[in-house]
Amino acid sequence: MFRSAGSALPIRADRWKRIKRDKYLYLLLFPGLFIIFLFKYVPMYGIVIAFKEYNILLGVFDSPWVGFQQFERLFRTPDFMKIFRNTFVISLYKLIFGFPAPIILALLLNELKNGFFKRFTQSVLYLPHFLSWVIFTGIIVAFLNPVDGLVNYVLTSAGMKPINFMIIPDYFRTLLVSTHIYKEMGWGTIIYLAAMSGVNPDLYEAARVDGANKFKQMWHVTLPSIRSVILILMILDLGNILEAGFMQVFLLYNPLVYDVGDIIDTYVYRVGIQSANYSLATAAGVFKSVIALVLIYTANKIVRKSGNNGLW
Amino acid sequence: MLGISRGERIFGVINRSVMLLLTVAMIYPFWYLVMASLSDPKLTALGGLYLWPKGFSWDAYIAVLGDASFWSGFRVSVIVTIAGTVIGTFLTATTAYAISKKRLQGRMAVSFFILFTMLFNGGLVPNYLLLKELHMLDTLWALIVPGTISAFNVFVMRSFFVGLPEEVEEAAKIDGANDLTVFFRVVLPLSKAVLATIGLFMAVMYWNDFFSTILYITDKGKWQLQAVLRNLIDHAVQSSGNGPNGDQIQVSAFTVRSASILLATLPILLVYPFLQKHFVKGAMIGSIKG
Amino acid sequence: MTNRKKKLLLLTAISAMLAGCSNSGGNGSGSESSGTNDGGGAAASKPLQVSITLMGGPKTPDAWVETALEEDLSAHLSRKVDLENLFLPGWSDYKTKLNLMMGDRKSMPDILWHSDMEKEYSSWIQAGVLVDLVPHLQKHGRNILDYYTEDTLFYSWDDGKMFRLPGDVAELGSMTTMLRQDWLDNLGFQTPTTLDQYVEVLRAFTNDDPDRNGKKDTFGFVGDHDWRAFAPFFYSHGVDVDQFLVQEDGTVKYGATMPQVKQALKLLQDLYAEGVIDPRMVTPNVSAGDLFAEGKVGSLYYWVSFLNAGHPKQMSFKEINPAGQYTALEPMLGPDGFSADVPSDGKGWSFVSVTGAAEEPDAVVQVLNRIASKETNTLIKFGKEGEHYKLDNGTFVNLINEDEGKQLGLDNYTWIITRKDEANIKNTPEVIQLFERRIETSQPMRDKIVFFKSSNRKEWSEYSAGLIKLRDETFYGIIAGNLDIGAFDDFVERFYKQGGKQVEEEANLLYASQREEREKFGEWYKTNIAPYK
Repeated sequence: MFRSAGSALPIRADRWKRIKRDKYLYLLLFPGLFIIFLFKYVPMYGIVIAFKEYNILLGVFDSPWVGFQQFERLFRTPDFMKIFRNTFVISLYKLIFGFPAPIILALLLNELKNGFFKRFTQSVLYLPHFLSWVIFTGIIVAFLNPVDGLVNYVLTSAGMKPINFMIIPDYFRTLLVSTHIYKEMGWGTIIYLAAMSGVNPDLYEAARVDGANKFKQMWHVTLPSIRSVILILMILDLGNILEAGFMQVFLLYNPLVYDVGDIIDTYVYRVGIQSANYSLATAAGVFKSVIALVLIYTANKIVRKSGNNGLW
Repeated sequence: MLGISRGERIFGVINRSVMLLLTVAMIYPFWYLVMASLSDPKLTALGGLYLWPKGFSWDAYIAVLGDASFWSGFRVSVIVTIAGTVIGTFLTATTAYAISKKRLQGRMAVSFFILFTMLFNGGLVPNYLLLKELHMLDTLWALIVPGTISAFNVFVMRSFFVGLPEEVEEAAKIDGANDLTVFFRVVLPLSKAVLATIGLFMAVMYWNDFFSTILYITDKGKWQLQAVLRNLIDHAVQSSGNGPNGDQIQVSAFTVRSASILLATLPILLVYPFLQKHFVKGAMIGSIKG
Repeated sequence: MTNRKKKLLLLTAISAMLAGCSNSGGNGSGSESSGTNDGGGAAASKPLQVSITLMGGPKTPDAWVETALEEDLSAHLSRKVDLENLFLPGWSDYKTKLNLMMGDRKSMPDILWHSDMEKEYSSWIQAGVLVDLVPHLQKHGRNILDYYTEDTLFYSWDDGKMFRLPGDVAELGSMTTMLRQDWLDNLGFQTPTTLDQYVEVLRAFTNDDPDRNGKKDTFGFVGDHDWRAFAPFFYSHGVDVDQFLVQEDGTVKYGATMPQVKQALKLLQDLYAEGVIDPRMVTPNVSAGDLFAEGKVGSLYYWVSFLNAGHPKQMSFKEINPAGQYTALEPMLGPDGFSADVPSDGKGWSFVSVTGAAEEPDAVVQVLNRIASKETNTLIKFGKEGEHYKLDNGTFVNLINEDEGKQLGLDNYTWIITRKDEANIKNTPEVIQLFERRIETSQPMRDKIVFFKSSNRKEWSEYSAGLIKLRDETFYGIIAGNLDIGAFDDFVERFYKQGGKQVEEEANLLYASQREEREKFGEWYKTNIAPYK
């Protein structure tokens, strides 16, 4: 009996006693932690090159320290505020529009009757995820191309003037957000569908007896059941708030939309990688991660305060 | 059982129509590649592919299937994906299960320890040096082991374990089972949906990985399929456009590239339908109620 | 407990399976590389093992070309030569790979191919991991020294030493103005010689249905998304917006800031608005080579090699447009009577070095020298005469298709000293003539441009990314009509505020020191290279 009430042991009970009691849990924990330690923490000393003037010849340890000089250089860039704002705005839009999209889609999919149509739809919706951005943007560009793309073919057939979508700054962020959703929405449903598979069907039956329509069933039964998964994914997604999607932006942007499309990662690519300034690239990465860490930490705190399960 | 109301019927029709539209939209990029791969190589790479191939030819598929690099990459990717997914899903499950238990001493610290790796990493060179010290360079281990566990997967899996009904586990413990037995006998069978999800994530991650090859593999016999593919695409894109000096070098045609992409994506697409039954509504609860 | 045992068993089984897998995975091509590690203190009688990084071509492992080259080398070095091919990943990733390989002597290749890695290159020199090639070239480098000119070798010279050789140097002028001759005839125009005439022709190509199909579906002008594609417009104004140009007073100025650029941009803006310039040209997703083949465009500034009858794009073009005909023009005369084609820098865009990992650098240079011979160059690029190609009155005829060429691995060794002279047998006599003519037509601009040798350009690497962004943003903005032409003046002002001043000062200093260095090199060349040619 005493085993079942694990957390009910007196708080001041001997720590070792508790550890001993949970020895099998630690046994389960150990292999994963070991892998994480070995492959994630051991190489982590590489971060110090953000505070150094990295020289390939001297290596990580012997390159000279420069303190926060790389960060200063990053912030001193004439366009830094613009680049930072672009990064933040693009990923914020992606979060606002891209986060709920798979939830809504999963709710709708969940309402389809089990059968061929449902299985087929599910399998198809996640197809675009498997195309790399190089291929996907290639297709998007061919699709929108002002001379012989399908969209402009339709526009000109309807007697309208062709539009060169790629070079209009007002459209660019919309283009990024919508292609992002297009590509990832279906894939994003998988976690939610798995979570929904755990909902007790009796609950729906009960709701229907109470006269709840489909919408009310989703709102009162399905959503609350997957709330914890939504919250966890939300917190994890906040960690990506400065990841506006390097490959996507890099492949879609052009000088005419630099003003709204240049992000930290593309800047670092041009300055850091192309001119072999690895310290600057690392510094930019550290800067983004620190902001992400603060956001995740705060979000987690709020989630826990509100009585839900957070990340820890 | 209540009868189906009018409102529900209308909702059903609208829902199916929306899905049908989305299906068409999501299939189109693939259809585009199909069109491109089946077109006459002389006519492709020009715009104006809308609904049907331009001309018709199987040549692209014949070329890809006769390409030794493609098959060697294919073999490597299959091995790496299967091994990585099995090991990775298992390790993710054990780790996630342990930190899903509130009674575990140091749980918060361990969670943070794992989360931290999602945000910070040491960069390419230290990783390369580590694998060199471990004598894993130019072996398939280098492609498998470093990717087995990721913070994201652990946290997703953990959130599912937290949601499992306490009573089932406690009942098992009353019968004298220890944590290991509970985990393997009770928790895992109840978690097929999340195991399938994470398994799918891992499989796709391994299948799409090309960067490990770039970092750790030199021997072309051990390139992952996606690395072979990336080289093919990179090369064609660079050389037909801003090629270094307009050199005439061997570049695969747009048709061949499209066919390669399709053939390289097909195997991983086939995984999902097999896992689908675990996502069916009520699958898990059914097994609990027995 | 039985459960745990089961799981342990399962784990053991998995690891056993994996071990098996990784062994079998290595069997393919691992067998030949196993020998390289234990070859300490090689004697001349032992087979020569050379590892070489390769970027070019289809990267076909264990291809015909590898055996062919090994046989050819073995025959000429009178000892067995065993090549270990290290295929580099694609263009996005090769630098990462090379940096990792060069981090440790054990993983260094004997022959290192590199490109656009000036900063790394100078650190390799400092670390002493590259071999000075001069003494070896003097002994075994005749083919190489014969092929590369004094001017070319200057850019690989490091104060009396040479740590690299160009892997590929473009023809001195490799681009030209191309025009649809058949369209010109259809519309009854004379071949344009001045910019004004050229623009008139481009307008007609857009508006007067030059292909006589009754549809307005043609463009006057297209090119890749880079500034050299606009050469007919900029060069006739005497400017190159990518380069530093020597001014009349002897100082050096960044081309993009010169007032003539404004006139050229104004013209481009008008042409874009009229629909003469293909709108795809202002985004990077365009491939002018494909549009060249499609045949809906009247003119491009493009690679001379595309005029070879055997060029894949030329063949597609002919197939789609049987009556179509591209012709190469002399560069257009501008308002001030200046004209020029784009000169290439002559220093090479990719290089080969020999690293300290090579146990017998002498023999490795012999390998390179043999590759630089006409016979071997032709062999590895085109295959065997009679079997893979034939020459019909000097015209190259392929006997194999593209896929067969891929399987043979032709081009695997491209850019390891690729010759552009008579060894490039694919060039037709007409194209050879065109190349020769470009040497003269590109000279006026070559006289103005400063091709920097030094990789130590501190200010440039600090500010260039921002300045180039500013330029591209402004210029493409003006062309596409998003910005008013007045934006050019703001650009010049901001250019100098955002580091352009420092960059130009540095350029002037480097220009002066480089001229001195060139003289010094000339002396050195006379005694150290010329006698060994």
